[in-house]
Amino acid sequence: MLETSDIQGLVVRGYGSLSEARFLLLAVDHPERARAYLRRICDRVNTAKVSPETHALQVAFTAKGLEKLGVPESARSSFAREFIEGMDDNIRAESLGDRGRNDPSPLTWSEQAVHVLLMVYAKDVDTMKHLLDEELPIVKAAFTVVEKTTRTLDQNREHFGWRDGLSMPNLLGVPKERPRKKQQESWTDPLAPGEIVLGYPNEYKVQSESPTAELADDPAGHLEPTADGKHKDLGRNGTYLVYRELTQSVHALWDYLAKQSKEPGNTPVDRAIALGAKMVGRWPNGAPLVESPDRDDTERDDNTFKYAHDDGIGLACPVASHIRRANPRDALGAGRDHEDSVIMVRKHQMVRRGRPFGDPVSEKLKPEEILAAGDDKKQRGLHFICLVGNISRQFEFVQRNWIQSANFGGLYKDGDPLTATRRTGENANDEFTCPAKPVRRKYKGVPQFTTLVGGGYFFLPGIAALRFIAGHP
Amino acid sequence: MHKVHAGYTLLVRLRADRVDAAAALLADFEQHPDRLPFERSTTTHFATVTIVPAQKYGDEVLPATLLFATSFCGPAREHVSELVRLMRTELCHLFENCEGFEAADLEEFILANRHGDTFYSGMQYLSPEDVVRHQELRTEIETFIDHQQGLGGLPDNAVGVRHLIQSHIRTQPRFAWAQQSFTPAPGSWMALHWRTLILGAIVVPFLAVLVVSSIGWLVHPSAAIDTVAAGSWITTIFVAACALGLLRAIRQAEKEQTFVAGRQPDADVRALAATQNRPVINEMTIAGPVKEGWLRPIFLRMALWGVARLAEGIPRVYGPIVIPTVATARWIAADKGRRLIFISNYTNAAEGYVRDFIDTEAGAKNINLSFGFGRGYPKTRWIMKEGAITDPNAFGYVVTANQRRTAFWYGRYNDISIDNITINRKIREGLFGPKNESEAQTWLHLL
Repeated sequence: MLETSDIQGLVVRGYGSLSEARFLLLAVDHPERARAYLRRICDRVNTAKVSPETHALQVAFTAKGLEKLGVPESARSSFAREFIEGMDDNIRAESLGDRGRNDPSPLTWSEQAVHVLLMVYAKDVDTMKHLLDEELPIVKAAFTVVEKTTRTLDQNREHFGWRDGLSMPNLLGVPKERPRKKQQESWTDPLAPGEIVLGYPNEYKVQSESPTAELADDPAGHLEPTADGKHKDLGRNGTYLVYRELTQSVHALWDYLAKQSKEPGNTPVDRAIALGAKMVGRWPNGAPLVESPDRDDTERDDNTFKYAHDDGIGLACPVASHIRRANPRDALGAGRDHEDSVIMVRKHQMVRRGRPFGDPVSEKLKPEEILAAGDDKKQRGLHFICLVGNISRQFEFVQRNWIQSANFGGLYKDGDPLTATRRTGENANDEFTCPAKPVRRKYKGVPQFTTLVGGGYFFLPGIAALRFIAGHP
Repeated sequence: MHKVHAGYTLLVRLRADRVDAAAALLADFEQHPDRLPFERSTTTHFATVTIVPAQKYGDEVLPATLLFATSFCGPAREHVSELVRLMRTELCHLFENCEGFEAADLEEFILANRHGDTFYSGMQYLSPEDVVRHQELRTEIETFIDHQQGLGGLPDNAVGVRHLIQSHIRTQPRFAWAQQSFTPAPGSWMALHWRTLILGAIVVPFLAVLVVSSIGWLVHPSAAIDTVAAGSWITTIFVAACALGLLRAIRQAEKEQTFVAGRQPDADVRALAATQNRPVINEMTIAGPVKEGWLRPIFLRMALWGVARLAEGIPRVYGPIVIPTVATARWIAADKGRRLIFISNYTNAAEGYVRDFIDTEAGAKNINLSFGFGRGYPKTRWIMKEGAITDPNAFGYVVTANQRRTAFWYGRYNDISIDNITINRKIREGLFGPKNESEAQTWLHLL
């Protein structure tokens, strides 16, 4: 069982019932005051043990933040290399496709300037206001604050109009809490907890690599000793949090779908929706194309489907579609057979905790409404957030080899139709191939529909580790 | 002429006073790749030229060595002749830093210093011209389909669409070659499998004699049959005893292993990662001494010989190994088996590539067999067990600990993956010839 009283709640729940959220990007101005503030909130940070009813508080740190807060160098250097280097490191950014429109240099924020991420969740606007009125004055005494406002949309949709968060991996060792909340059935067995939470066995049946501290650096004894007794386990019950603020060009997407669709349909709207569904791999209401290839079906939003036997070629759900490349399930095409594919894909899973920002184009986000609305030029998008035990093996691998790659699954010039950074010329990834009988339909010059605004790699510590970082007496 | 895809590995000891000069020359080649014009070679798919530094093996120093490794198709002699013809002057400049080199005998020098390797090809029987042509053919077909779809002029059945494509290609003189059948040239099979066949020629008759003489000894004993049967059994027992002895000795060495590689300096790993960040195909060179124990160099060479045969496939028993992300992989038991060198050209970035192989237990066992002898590799049990299976992190560490920055790399294909090369070949193979509706549909799904 996971030590839920030491794990931040975000690991096991997305706080879906708390519709309001503020992500506060904090830069340390006064380290001592900052530590004092962190000590103050140690007992208020919500753990995985109990589901909060009204509000929740979570906290994470960048590598720079740990340095700024005085965490010893020996401990900081024991974190994963990708966390230390950061998302906007030149080599990593190149690898992730954060070039061109996503070039890190003009990003509005990065982990270089952000030290702490404070995530505040509330059940409604009033509760959020009350919380911030209390919290912000104290926070501002120690930090420079940048506020990111988020709010869940109708039926947990994202701005393009699709229901989000339908294919989340389950974790072994998570205690069942509320009987009314049924765990979603999955295409695969629950993951070993170490895939997400440090200090537990992962899918390789070994402990994930985890940061440590010197014994002498923890005189207060906040941290448990490592298995060999030579260090203190700083990573235990923590996880890495990947944060990417992405704007979504909703008008550009639906304009493209309406004008370019060659998919079957009775009306122009039907044809636009059909192409959108092919690009996503699900219909807007969540029905997977593998199970419901011809029409949206509100009864079928499950996550149990696989590809290899039912749709190996991708006639229903194209190989290039977003959900198939973000999670190829049993059809990776590597290894000896489909079982090997499952084993391999399970090692590249992520727990996603994203939240939309900005006003929706329409309240219900129905395709007809979105199509009818013009371009209001308003900024909207997604705070993409995922939790992983290994940034390189999980988030970066998926982003580089499955989302960005033009050659995923034997394709030639197909990047992810929704979320890839477009490249043209050599190594172009601006096509979308839609398998069909007798021959495929191809969409060329697909525009880029999402743009990176900022982002970073964070460490979401366990509560004991938080006390250590805060320098609790 | 056959088109077997193989590795040409040249390993030559550098003169002690010329190591820096060789490094400077390679740096200049990297800056001015036209000085080694591999792109004009008709036989070269990939080339790696680098220096394997002096390394310690116990108390012994393994010398700094020049590694010149091409992946090529066709007869080796023709490949070497072509390279000499294309880049004689530069090769002379390069090899004059090596021991025993005489400029007048460049070709002889290259032929005489060829080193054995274990080579895996993900693109067997393809020449560079084939790969490029197949890509052009696919592009032409795709463009034609796009055009026809724009006109609304495609039939609604697969046979009809394929027929239309065939007609179009027939009108294109530059694709006249595509109408000819595409099968490995005569002699290809033998050129690839001759080592396995020699082994078979020894083992199969021996086993036949063993079985027949044993049956004869049971049914109709005679002095002659008894002698043959006894000889066969003594030989079998002797070979089995040697193998068991070797295995037990290796097992003992496994138990005594103390050193396992740890996390390498972040800056070093980052510098290496920067060299393997190309969008599609990357290259990796690993070189390091093997673990201590005098039997390991012997067993390493035996194991790599076996892996090589498995990688080629055993004729009429099972097909070659297929690894979708790997164009070439090559293991070299250098310095009489005391140093293991690995070179690969692959689709992926280095970090993901390395992890790919140990994601399944079967894959990790194979990695144990082929890499488990390297110093710092996590402890294996009976060669294929544990190792990367039980300590995947240490596997990653030992790879980065022994990875070398490749001084000069040439790869012909910048924007097509190994998967693409395989699919292109299937498109070409299936373009002409009879197919029913179902077969034609399967072929069209390649597009």
